[in-house]
Amino acid sequence: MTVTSSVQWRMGIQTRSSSFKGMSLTVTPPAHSPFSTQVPRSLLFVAPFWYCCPAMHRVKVAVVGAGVVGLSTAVVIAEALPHCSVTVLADRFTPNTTSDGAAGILFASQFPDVPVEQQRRWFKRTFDHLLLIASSPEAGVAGVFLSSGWQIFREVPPEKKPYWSDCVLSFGTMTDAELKRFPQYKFGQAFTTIKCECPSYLPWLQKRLEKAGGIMIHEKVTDLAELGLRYDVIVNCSGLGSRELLGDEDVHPVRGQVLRVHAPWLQHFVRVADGHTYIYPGAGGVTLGGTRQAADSQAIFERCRRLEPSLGSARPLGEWVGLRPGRRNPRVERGHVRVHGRRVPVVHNYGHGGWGITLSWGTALDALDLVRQCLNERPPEARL
Amino acid sequence: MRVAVIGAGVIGLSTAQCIYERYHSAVSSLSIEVYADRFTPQTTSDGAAGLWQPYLYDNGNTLETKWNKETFDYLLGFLNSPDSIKMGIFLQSGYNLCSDPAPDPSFRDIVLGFRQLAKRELDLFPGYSHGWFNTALMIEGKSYLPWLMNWLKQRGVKFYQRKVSSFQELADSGVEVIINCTGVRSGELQPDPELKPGRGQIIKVSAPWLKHFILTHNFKKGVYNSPYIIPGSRHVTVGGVFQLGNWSEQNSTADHKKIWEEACSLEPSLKHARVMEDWSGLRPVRSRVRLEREMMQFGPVIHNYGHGGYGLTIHWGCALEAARLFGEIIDALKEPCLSDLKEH
Repeated sequence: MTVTSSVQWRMGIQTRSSSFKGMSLTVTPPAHSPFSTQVPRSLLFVAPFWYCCPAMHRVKVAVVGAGVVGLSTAVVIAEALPHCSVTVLADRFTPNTTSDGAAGILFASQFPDVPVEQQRRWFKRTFDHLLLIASSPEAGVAGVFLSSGWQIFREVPPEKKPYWSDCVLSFGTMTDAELKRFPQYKFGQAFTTIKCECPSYLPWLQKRLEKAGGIMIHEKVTDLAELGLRYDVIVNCSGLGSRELLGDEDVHPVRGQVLRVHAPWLQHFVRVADGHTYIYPGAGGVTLGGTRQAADSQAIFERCRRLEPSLGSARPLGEWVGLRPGRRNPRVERGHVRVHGRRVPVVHNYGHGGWGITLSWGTALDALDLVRQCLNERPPEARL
Repeated sequence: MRVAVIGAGVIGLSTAQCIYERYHSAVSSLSIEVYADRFTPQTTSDGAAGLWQPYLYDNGNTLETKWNKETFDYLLGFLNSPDSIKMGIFLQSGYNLCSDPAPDPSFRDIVLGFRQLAKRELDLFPGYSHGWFNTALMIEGKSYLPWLMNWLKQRGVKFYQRKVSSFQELADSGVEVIINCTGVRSGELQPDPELKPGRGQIIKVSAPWLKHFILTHNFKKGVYNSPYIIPGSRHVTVGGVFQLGNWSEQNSTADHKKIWEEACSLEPSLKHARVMEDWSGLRPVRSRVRLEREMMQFGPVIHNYGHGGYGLTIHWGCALEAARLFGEIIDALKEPCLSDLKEH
């Protein structure tokens, strides 16, 4: 007895309308698979039979989460491992992910426990990947472009250069003449980095995923063990969702509230070093932020206007509140989930806090390495 | 005292403003009139992208560098004022790229944050081996000129739309001092073999992800004849063409093609930009700005024309100088013996 789900296609994303609990399974085929399988549940206990046709079987990788980290990780895996079929499962897709509300300026603060060299590698690999897009004809389409501006400090900081200062396109100290515009600030950094706007970048990644044979399914994953019945490797990029999905209490929401205004004359970003006030001009509007606790939009606007008086002529476009997947450090490591006595490998890539876009490609590449390790350790009869 | 300014581009209007500011209380019944055949948005100043940047080198003309600096500092002072956007003033940073190594430009100490480009930045622009990054200002004619006109109108300055055919014509009507800001067509009022049109054509596009100006310099091809891309508040201006002696204000398909191909080579993302329209204008080119007073038989004339492709860049310094010359005229008129000179 099988249950066929009604499958609808919307914007290239498959929506599954029935659940699997207590029912026989319908296995969703990868997009370009030559066969589709409808198998009674009992056969799943006979694992080796699954792999009797190695030429036809592809390793099924499930990526949970379709924000910038999930999609980047899925693309990286689909492109590097053509023998894997990659399926992204998420309850939310662009433009409704946390990533979509972020301004997307590549910038990071330092995590306490990850070796600095690793953080720097995450940043650099993301920056270099995005710089290629920014200097290509696709910059406008992908929403990835150069952005110059200033970070200002009320007092001279002990660390004048962050670990990523040589990763961005240019980095230097502000001159006295440049600081004159900000009379209450004693020190500043001037740099050129990248802005990566997810409402454009995520659709661009989705297209790239599809080109590499990946598919996307609209499904809220609530049980990794259940997912392990259907997939060979699970990559968990569920961001804030990891708190519930894994019971990881280290993940906590860090609220961000931003305003968007129309002020097309603003070409530079301005960020106050404490992170509470920033002005990020983009292609469709300027993002003004922000806050880590509830605050009124008027307060955000006033703080930004003090830094940039011309905002008095700006026209409001809207507000947005998002919850950053805060964690002491991002979790990029292997785990597993037990499924009927088997171990299904899980690669975690979540907890990027407010630096998801900035670290997306670099952590995706690390996740790819971990997926490769998992695949190399599979029992011989279970491999291709 | 009736003062007539001929020309309502950035030079004419800012000179009128500067003279009014400095002399309306000192000179009894000072009345300023502006005569022009073209007003904003039809002037040369309206079509220019509005980037504050002089030519790379002043070739010893330190006076013009001084006027450029005075203009920059003056405009910078308005940045934090509530009027800055109405005036069309905002900061913009960007890249000046050279095909060969070149000495630092004359404006290096005027702009903000001037520095050499690092190799990584130059790698973004194949074919350019040397260059600079700096933060400069935009001063958009389409906002600045209406703001100036409004400022002047509020203070009783009168505007007349007509083509003045001679200085004499104005003098006959009772005008005592003439300020000649007639730009590229100054030769119609007084022949000037040094003044020539430097025809430019630009393409306006929508490409809101571009946030930096990119100017290229090819010393063999000459100024403005190699591509430039200047984002503005309403659209991105793509150029460049500089045709000395060409009086045509019609857009040329051949020029459009050349500009577009070169610009897309420089900035590949333009491929997906939306082209809005072309515009052609005539830069009033001269070996140096003509900024001096001349005593003609009917009275004094202050000439303030020939600002080439840097009118917006230099306008305030020139307006200050023109006002200073006006002051000299006022002082001379106070001297009793000089009233004889007037009839000379």
